[in-house]
Amino acid sequence: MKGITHFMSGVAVASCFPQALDAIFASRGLLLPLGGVFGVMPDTLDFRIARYVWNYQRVCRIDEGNLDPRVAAEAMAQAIDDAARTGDLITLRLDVIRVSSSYYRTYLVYVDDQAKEVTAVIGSLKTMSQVMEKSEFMPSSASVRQRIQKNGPAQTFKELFESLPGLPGSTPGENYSYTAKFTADIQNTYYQETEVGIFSGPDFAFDVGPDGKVRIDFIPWHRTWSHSLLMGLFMGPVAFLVTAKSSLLFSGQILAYLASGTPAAFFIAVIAFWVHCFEDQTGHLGSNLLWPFTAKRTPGLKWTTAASPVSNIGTNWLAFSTIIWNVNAHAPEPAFTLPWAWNLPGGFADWTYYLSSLGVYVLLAIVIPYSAFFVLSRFYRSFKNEPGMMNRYGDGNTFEMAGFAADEGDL
Amino acid sequence: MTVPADSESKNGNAQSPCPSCGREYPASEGRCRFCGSARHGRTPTRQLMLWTYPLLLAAAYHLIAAWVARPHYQAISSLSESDTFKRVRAQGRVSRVRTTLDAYRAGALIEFTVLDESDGGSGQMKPRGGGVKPVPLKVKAEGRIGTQLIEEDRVPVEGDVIGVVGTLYIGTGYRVLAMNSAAGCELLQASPNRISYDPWTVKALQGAKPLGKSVVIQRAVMVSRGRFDVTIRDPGDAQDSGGSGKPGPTLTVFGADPVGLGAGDVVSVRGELETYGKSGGFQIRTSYKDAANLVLLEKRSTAPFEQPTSVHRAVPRVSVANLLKSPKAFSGRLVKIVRARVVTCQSRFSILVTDADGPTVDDGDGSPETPPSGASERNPSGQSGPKPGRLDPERQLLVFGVDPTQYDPGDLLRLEGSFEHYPKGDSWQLKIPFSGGRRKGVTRNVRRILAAIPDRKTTTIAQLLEDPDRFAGVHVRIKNAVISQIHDERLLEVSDVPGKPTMKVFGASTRFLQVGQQVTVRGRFIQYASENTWEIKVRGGDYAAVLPLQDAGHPSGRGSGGRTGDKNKAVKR
Amino acid sequence: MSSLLLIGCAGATVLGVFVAALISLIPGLHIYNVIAITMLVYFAIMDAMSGMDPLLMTSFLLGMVVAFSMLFTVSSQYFQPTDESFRSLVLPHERFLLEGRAHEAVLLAGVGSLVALYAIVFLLPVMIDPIMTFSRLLQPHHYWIVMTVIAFVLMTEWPKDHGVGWTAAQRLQDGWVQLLMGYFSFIGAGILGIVVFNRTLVPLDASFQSLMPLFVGLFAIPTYIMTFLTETRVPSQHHCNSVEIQDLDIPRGSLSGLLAGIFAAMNPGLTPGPTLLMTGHITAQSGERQFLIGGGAGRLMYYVGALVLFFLPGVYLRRGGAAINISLFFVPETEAQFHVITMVIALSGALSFLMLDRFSLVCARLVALIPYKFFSAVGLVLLTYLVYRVTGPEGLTIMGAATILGVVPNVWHTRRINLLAVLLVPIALNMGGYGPAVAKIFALY
Repeated sequence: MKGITHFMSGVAVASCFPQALDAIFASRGLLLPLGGVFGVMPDTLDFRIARYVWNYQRVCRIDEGNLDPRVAAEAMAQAIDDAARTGDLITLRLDVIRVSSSYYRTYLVYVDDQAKEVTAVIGSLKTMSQVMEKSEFMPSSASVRQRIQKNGPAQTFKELFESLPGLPGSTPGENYSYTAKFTADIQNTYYQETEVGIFSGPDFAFDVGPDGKVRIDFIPWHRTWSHSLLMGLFMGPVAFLVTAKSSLLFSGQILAYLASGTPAAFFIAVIAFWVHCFEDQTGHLGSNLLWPFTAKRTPGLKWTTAASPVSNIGTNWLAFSTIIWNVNAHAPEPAFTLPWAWNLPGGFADWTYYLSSLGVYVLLAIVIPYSAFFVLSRFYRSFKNEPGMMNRYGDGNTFEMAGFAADEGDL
Repeated sequence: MTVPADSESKNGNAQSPCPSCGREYPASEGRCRFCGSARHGRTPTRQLMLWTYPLLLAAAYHLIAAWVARPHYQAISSLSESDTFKRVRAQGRVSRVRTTLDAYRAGALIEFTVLDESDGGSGQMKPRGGGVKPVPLKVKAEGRIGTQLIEEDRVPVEGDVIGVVGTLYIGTGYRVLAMNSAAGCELLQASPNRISYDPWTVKALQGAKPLGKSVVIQRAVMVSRGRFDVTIRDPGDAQDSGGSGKPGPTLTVFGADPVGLGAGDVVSVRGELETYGKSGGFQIRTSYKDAANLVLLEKRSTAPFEQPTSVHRAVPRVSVANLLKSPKAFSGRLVKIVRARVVTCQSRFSILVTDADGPTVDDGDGSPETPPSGASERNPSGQSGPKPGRLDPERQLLVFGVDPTQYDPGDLLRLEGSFEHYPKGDSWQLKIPFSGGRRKGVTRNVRRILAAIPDRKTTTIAQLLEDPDRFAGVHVRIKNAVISQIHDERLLEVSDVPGKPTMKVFGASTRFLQVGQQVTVRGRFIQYASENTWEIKVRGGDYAAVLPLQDAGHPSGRGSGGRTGDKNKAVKR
Repeated sequence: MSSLLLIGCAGATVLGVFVAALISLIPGLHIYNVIAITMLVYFAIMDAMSGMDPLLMTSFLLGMVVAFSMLFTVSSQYFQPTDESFRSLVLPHERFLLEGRAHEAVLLAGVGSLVALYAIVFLLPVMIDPIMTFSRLLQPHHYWIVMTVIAFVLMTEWPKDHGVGWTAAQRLQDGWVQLLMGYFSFIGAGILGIVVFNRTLVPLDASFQSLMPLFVGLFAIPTYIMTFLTETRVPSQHHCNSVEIQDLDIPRGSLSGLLAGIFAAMNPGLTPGPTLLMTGHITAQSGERQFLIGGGAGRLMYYVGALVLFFLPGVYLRRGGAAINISLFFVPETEAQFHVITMVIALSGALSFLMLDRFSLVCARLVALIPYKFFSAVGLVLLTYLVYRVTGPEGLTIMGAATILGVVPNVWHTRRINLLAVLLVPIALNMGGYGPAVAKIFALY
């Protein structure tokens, strides 16, 4: 999920705490933004600390003046075999190729665990936007698999590069791919293909597991200790102390300072942190929820992808609706009341009124919009996926369009 | 929609410019190899421009809607209680304007009455049984709105036809339109009475001296003040910054109410430039009644708040009995008698009053009075108080400065005036301030709460004679009649003009009347059965029933001169 | 309301559009600066125009705001090219210019603006009740909403690469330099904002433009400086007669922009910058076309939508400099006036869009004939004079201090959004009731 999604989820979590809402009306409390801060904290820890302190042993660098796919293919294959042979953890970084302020040279590595091959394909020049746009025009994975079986990965991905957003005609005409073999058995925890695109290249970790297979972890520093339940528990006291009266600390009253925090802040921070972890678990990469008791990430549920508009919009809408509901129900004077429920006496303090209103609100704000969106997306998908439909981005390709409600795992 | 390539060729290698960046690349390729933009499936700019048409249509629609929805004026007579709290636009002729400052000088309070033009705007009562009773609408502009009207010189004057917008409040006994903004008052037709003020400065006036002109000095600085006058100069003089330069010219403004103002305050002033005979100088003459004549613009002095000298300040509310019981305690003070009953006319300019509900004292703290049980305002001439005509110095007070022809014995009045000692008669009186100029009778210091005779009709002798049945039994008033004959001490004849048909008036004392004298007459129009004639019968004790329009004497001996003329033989009835 | 007044309003609208088009040629001139100039002129001649219906001036200003919202970024796009040495990221419209297709970027942004106009003209008037409800709901919560935006801006600035260095410490240092400079610019801007809000040097009679020197110094002047230092050559621009728009570009792009604009319009202190950042992520905006469309929609929805909130019957929210300035002399009261306002917006929006094509062509021709640095020089002189004229030498002092801070993001490649702390921080603190306590720390209270 995108950062804003986690952030809004954290705010929504905080809004479920009456103490947080009381603090707004009584003393201008800041527990809701605090929830957002801890909602996005796991990724902040990763991208501001973990990525820098992670040690990589090997770096693969390809130069635009000498686009040799062999470098990348052999680097991957060798890392697999070296890990199997030595039993040590091998870490590898595939560096990006930045050509100018706007363009990156992309390339792709495809790991075939059956054939025990790593194929590297040099791709087109792309801008950041075009890299991000890729998912809009990606063919279905079934279609790609079929093509690979038919034409092999090199040919398939070359065609893919030419059909996806990028600078046309910028793919190399020859020597665009290389296949390197490895001997070890592997367990790939992520996608078979990884595109090296913008900003910073992907990192890999190769480690032999108890079953003797070399486990390949994508960006191994991400979603480990920073996305664990225990780390969430550590956030509780941090939030508690953030809300404590610092004047007591400065005046030397340590115990009083420690006791002056807001208990609700503790729980808000913990739950918001955990919600982030659970949201990430719906993707492919998963998280190491039980760190330090487990060493590796638990693969995700593969329900959606991080950049999926459906999941991001859907989750944000849910968070937003939750915030609006809580803020309104807790207000001294509610800004709106719900149909049918407004005939009941008592107001939101009364459970009957509250639950009736909540039921109507869920229907109006969640069920109906989600259903409408689901129907529309299915309609759009069916319309776009008519047989023989051309991929709009390229010419002459017959990949099936997946549409934005991709069958990769979106709901 | 497919945008065709600029140059198509059967040869796929033909170059064609990119529709986005303009660089050429093979026409067979669908995307530009330089910028990545698509060649086909583009939207022409012209098509995009078509999407402005709905906006233009919307603009046209809203233009028409604005025209249709333009505010219409509602007839004042059509306004009802159901329109209360609604925003209403009314139009009419201004009949009365009153401009004051509120007690704390926080802003102006402008009240004016607007009469529906469709009623003729005359404010006249239509004859009974026919026509529409004109319904006035009182309009209020308070605080900042009133001040803004004054500053922009847009206060309506009597006779203006205006359109006014505001929030309507209609209830029992009130019908008020409260303006929400100064822009809500629009002058549609200026009154001929509207005075146009020319802007001047003090220095320019000193030079040009446009005597008799209505002038306004939009910004001036107060130098000093008196009781009814202020002295001003132009801003920017050396004194402003405490400098020692030559002081600029000053000018006196006479007639304004300077309460709350102090030296250094910035004011605007308007009035008529005139010479001040005594010193040979000149001044601006203005009136305190219109607060727009002296407006505080910037407060720079530290003059303490003072009680305004207008009648709206809090004055002690007293009864007649208490005044007479402790006259020295109230001597020289402004007092208010909330309910006084008219006993009789005392002279051409005075009446006698007594308490309506018995003796009560209120020192002005606002606590309500408690009338004694049995007293009733509805029966003023019946049960409480002395009988008219009997002087009771312990309980009757002379009120000097009113027109007795306006008040009947038994009327309940609210009076406010200065309680003072009248040396000549060694008595006490309540002196009502002059309203200035020709006395009109009704001043704001005297308010009638309840009329003893509420349905008195003002008419003429000719009308009475023309249709006597219509006026039979009605209390009438003839504002201007001429005495054509005095029969005896109690009977006289009057006519509208000499030589015209006359009407007998019975019951009024003729001691101080003369033939040919112009008088006002009031009484009841009845048929004298024995003679089968119509006459006006005066109420007993109503010494103002027949009053000369010029002061020619009065029952108590006050006034100028005594009786003149021949006595006429009395006719006994 | 006479027919003459209505025609006059339409005429004033058209005049406002053309004046805005003329002024839009100066890059870096913000719409609120233009409104400030207009108000100064208006107040100076107010006596002479006392007989003029205030609706005429309102129509003129509104026409200017709408046209300016659509046109004022066009000149910046053409006349202030980017030097990639000052940026870690080249934004789409900047790249389009360097590829010779700035016109397409202008049109795409114009499409977004058109969508926003449709929303304002056709949708907002029928959404009065929801807007009022939402406004009532938000009213006690503005302070923490702004704090939330601040928290998001600070938490989500992540460096784009791993950092350079052999050791973790070296990489950490490399990555955090950029972050820390971002925080530095945020904190510095925040402190500057607190000082100006509590103890501004700007004279009292210019207080209605007390933020002008700040924003000119933080954003406009550094951009001029960067333009002077830039050695980029602007290639010849192709005047395309079509644009590439994919199926979902308009709905997704404009959704992001509309949300950002209305969110910023309804919350004091927020501007389209940070809100577009948030809504872009919320809607998972992808692709440069969506980015451009969203930017156009967001800007127009913010500037014009905020103004329309002031005119909507029953809402009367004064947000933004335009509404505050107009409210000095005009407050809408009748249904007819509301129709006039809507007419003005629709008319000026349509005219501006129709003009966009030619306006872009004019800018392209100008940048081909005249060195782009000249326009920045003109803008620099004009803005400096304007600041001096309106706020005096005190304003120039503030502008100077702000300029020093405004250069930081360009030099250290951090986000310029951090500079919005000048507005976000004091507003959030004051609304939250923390303002006086914080001001006391700085001995300002």
